[in-house]
Amino acid sequence: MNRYTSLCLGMALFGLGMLLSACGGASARESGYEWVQSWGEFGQGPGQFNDPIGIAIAGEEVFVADARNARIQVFDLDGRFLRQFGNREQLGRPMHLAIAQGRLYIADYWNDRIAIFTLDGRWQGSMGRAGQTAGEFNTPSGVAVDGQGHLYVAEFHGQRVQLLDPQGKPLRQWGTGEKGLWYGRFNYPSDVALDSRGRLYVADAYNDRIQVFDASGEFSHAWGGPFALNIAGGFDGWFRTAISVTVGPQDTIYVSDFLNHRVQIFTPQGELLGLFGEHGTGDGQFERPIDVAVTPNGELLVVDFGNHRIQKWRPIEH
Amino acid sequence: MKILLFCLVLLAGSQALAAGTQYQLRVDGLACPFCSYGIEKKLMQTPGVENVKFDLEQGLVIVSVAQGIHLSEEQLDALIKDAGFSLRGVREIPAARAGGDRP
Repeated sequence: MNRYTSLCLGMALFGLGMLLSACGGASARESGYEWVQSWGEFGQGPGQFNDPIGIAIAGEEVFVADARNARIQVFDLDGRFLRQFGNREQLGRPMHLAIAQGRLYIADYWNDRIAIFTLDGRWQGSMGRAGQTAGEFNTPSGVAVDGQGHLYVAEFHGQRVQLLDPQGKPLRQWGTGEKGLWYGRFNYPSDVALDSRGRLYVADAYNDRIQVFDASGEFSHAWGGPFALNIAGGFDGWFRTAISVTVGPQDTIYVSDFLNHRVQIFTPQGELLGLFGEHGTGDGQFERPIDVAVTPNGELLVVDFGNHRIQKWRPIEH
Repeated sequence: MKILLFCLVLLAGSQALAAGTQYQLRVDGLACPFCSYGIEKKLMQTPGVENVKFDLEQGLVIVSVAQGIHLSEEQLDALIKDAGFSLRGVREIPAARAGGDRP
């Protein structure tokens, strides 16, 4: 495809997108959630953050990656500080998190590896090293772990997602390692998640979309803007940098829509269920939300990156 | 005593002069930490780079280097490109002025 054809195709898609949005794509939907509380502020002390990024929940405990402080902080579900662990030798820039089989898996962006801790903070080692070949990582940004202990790792600059066995042996990869627009390729993937049917969800951040691969690893579908082909926007169901993806109960999908300062909620097929959030520093406002976790009660904990805090939202009861 | 004070003042002055150059790089799209960390990581791997700071509102990357180190615009352009961004401009702040601003 030459440059002229690509340009014409891009303009045609954009025009069609505008038409679709004018025909109802921009209709407001009920969020279904209300703001409950926030905790945290900028700083280095317990309960303070310097670039909070990833969040994960195990039982009654909340784990937050405090990236520039190179540590993990642990809170109860109401935001009371419980403990912290990790140091600058163990963690460079901890990003998105996953919890499985009593272990915390941390995508360590600066050390190009997955760091592993027990939930009480004991170092268990790491997986991977810097590089471009299979089993090596180039800025790992997100991690998911399946029931058998296999790891799915998104590499932001590596432009791929890798599947590794529990010993770190590479099994397969999605994406070519080069930036790409077409389905199955990525433009700075930042997070991954698995649903109950083994489907893989990838936050394809700068293609402004979520890509889904079925349990056999084949591309299934994608959403975000017209044809999910890297058209960013503020309409419902569109994204301006889809930076995290989380699978909740009943395989509900939560996406941090980073530069739209909101969280959007979808079915596994990409049908929009609701959205909430607006730009700001007040209660219920976000400055670039970057991750979401679901509590056992169905409340949502959202990492409000730019405001250095965590926000709790609960479903509105009718 | 006066000689000691004079020596201390002289030493402090030479410390300020010993501070290296600072570069202010204008880079678009720095809102995301994955992006800024990527640039920071590349720059910190460069010999002589001592400190990297960000002014996200202004879209600036502020790079402090050790005394005697010089980074060319081509070198900085290649580093930023390698991190997936485009360098829009460079402002070099000479050592003597940069010294007062350093953290």
